[in-house]
Amino acid sequence: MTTTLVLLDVAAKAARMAQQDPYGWIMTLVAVSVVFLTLFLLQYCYRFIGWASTREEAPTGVHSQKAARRKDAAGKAGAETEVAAAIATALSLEASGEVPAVIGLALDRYFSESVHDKESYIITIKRKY
Amino acid sequence: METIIENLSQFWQYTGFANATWQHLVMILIGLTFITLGIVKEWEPLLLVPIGFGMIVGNIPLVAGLQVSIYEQNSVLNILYQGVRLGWYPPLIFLGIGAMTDFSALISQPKLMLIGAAAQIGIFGAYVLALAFGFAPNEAGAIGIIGGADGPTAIFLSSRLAPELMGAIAVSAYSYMALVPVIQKPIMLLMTTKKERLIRMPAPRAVSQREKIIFPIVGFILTAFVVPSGLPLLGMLFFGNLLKESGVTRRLAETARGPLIDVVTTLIGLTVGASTQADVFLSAKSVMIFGLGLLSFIIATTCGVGFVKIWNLFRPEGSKLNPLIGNAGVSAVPDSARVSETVGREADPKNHLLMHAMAPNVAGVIGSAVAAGILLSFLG
Repeated sequence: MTTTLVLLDVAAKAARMAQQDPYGWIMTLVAVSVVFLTLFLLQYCYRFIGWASTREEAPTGVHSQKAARRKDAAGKAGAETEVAAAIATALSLEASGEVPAVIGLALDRYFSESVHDKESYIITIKRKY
Repeated sequence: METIIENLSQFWQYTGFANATWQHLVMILIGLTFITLGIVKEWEPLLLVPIGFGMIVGNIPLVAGLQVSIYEQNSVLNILYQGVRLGWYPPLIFLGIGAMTDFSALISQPKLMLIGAAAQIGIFGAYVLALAFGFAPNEAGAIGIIGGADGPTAIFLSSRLAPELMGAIAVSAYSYMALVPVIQKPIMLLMTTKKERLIRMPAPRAVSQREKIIFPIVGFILTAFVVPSGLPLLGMLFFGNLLKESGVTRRLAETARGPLIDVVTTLIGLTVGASTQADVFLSAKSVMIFGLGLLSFIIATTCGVGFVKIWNLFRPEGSKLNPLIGNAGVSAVPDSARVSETVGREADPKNHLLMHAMAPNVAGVIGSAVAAGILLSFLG
């Protein structure tokens, strides 16, 4: 019953669209604009988050040494990303399919340490009595 | 003796041999082709093998009333098919995709997200063409989503907008996803010069764990506020990614990207394949859907590569983008990114585009889910 009602609603909306926008240009214009706007807003959000994140790591005062070390590590990770892609490419010369891409991504994740979960390693046992 | 012959004759009437038509045999042949391509060529085997076998299952000639066909109420296949018909399976697959996708490439280069948006023009290009070919707007919307190169999204949207076309749309979407290297490479070569193919891009910066955790939360809130109708897909995609990146829900993330997505992929492949019964599937409409699907892939690739070329006109020398990553704006992850890498390496063996192409590639997943939400809000 619900499915029938939904399909009737779809048919009614489709009929209205066929009347208002028979060639689909208006729909296309609106939809493409919305997709662009959404991803445009999203990229600005991430740019801001990225900017805030890297700014936090910039060398200042007494923490400069520590920050410089972080920067070095970031540079190393960037280089290692290329290494990962290079290994994947080299492997793809021997094998085809998804294996090289998967290895490349796995290596990249390994180098950027995102594959390791952070566990507290604290086991709490509550006595019942 | 007469009774035995009568019984045997009655039994014969129930067999597939007595009820077979040439349409059944054609569909079984198509199913066998899918299985062969999956096993021999290894083209999307996780999808083509279940879909191909499902096609054979769905086209075994049957007498009505046996309660075994996928379209017969309460048969086992019919119950499993509800996940496709009512759209439960695609969001669960998106949960798994979110839990297995590393968005680092995108977070480190957010500007490349716009390439993912440009490639979605393929969806709406196919929508306009489908209307011109006489399809109703809801059918045209369901057909257009093939250009997103995203099987679960295609199933989700077509189950809502045009359930009667879902089999053809799903098979078309998955077939072209398997053929991404064959379709995209010539277009990329045609649209780029040798000089453009040699452009090198700097290595993406390292991304902190905090950024990775913030990504799914911000991404979900923003996209769901703009397109609430895409909630099932976007919610599950970003939720899966949060499980992965939070670092404290390892078991949940592993289940989502492992056993859960495997089970759902098996069921979705088998039931979509079984839904392509000869009497529904073998029609002029299906042939047109396959043609429009191919055109939508071509438009999506052209728009992705063309967008990067136009963008480069406004970028200073030294920070230009390699247009070969433009094809990766469709959401066939990681196949289209791999095509960028392969074609880029053919021009310069030391130029690796894989990590750069992954950014528009995963943006394409978000973009196609947003596009599906828009189509649903207009037509659903």
